[in-house]
Amino acid sequence: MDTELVIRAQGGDQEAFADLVYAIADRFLAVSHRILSDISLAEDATQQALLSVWQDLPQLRDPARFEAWSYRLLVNACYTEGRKSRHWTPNVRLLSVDEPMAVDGTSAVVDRDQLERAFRRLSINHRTVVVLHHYLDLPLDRVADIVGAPLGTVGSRLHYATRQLRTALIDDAQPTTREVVL
Amino acid sequence: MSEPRTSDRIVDPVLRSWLHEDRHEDVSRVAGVVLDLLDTTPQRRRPWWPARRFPVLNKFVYIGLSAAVVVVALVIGTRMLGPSTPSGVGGTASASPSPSPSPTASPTPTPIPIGGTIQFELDGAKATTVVDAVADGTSVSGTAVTTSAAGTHTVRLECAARQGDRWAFVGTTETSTFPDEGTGAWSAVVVEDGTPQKVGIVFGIDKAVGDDCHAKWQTISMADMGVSNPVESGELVPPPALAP
Repeated sequence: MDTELVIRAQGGDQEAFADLVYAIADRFLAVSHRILSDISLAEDATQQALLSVWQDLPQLRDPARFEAWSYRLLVNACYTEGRKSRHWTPNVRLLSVDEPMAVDGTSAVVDRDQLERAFRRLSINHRTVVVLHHYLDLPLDRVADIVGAPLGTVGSRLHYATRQLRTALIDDAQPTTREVVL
Repeated sequence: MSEPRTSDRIVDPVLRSWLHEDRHEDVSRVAGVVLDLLDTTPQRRRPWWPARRFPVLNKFVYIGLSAAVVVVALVIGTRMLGPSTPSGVGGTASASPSPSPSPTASPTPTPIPIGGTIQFELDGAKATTVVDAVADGTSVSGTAVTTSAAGTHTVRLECAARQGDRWAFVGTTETSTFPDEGTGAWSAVVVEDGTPQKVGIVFGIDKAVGDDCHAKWQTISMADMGVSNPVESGELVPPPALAP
């Protein structure tokens, strides 16, 4: 991110902020869409986050940290929107899946619908960690910084989410024996 | 039992591929709305005073703007909010109109009013903190509102905690016009016992969804906090369970 742009926007330069918006808004909407799985909620979260960036920008002490700071605002906005509309089912019972999945058959079985269905069943906390790590390619320590949770907690959430997805995918592939959604 | 694995050679590639699919988002409308709102959305600027938080703790804890803290006229608050009879030293028969007849003895475990109003100096300016709350053990409900030239900081209280000669009213920031402060973070009024008391306002401790107030504050060391501002008037009274 152009630090100079951030500094100018901090000073109230609306043109500079407009440039910032066009630089980050696409990514904001993409991230929030993936976290919330709903484009309307994602647009609301993005709008709120961008306005929060504008409002609070003068208080950002280190412009070089703009990216992480702004993502934190976005995640908070996603949590807020998520609370307004909970249409995921968070409780999926974990089964023992330590045995290796049939690798050869995986790619054939797993399609995007299965994955989306499984992803929707994750809580918003788990989705957030997954999206920040796997979509933005952020290391876990930076994810922890953004979501405001200890590194160990973030690691646990990612592990849990991965297991949920893995299990759910297997369930979808073998519905007669593994279907135990609570 | 091994520690959590955060990667999975089967799920990860599928997941990444799916996340990176083009979902045809169009951000132009949202961006347009935001830019249209700038003129009517003022930025929150730092105040004229050097409102740095105490560098005291790590990134978790910021102790409010140079000084934080204050005093509470807890006694006054307690009297105003408090239940009927004080300690009832049978007193002389004063000519004052006697209060209500006989209180019926129904010792129900009602929450105990706590808090009060304190005044202190915050970076050269007067500041006031008003704690209006009730306690049930170390669980607290109510608000702590700190007002100074920098703004107003309102905390929805959830619990109280003590570590040595320091104790705190703890809760979640509900609203704040103080610099750097958003909502939803842990915040606290920290008090050091003494005459006068010393106080500090703790801002912006990250709060994760599901955080428990009591558990969280067992992990935070109040000893590291810059609780150095003497209360100029008033006093804050802790819940009885945390009395010195």
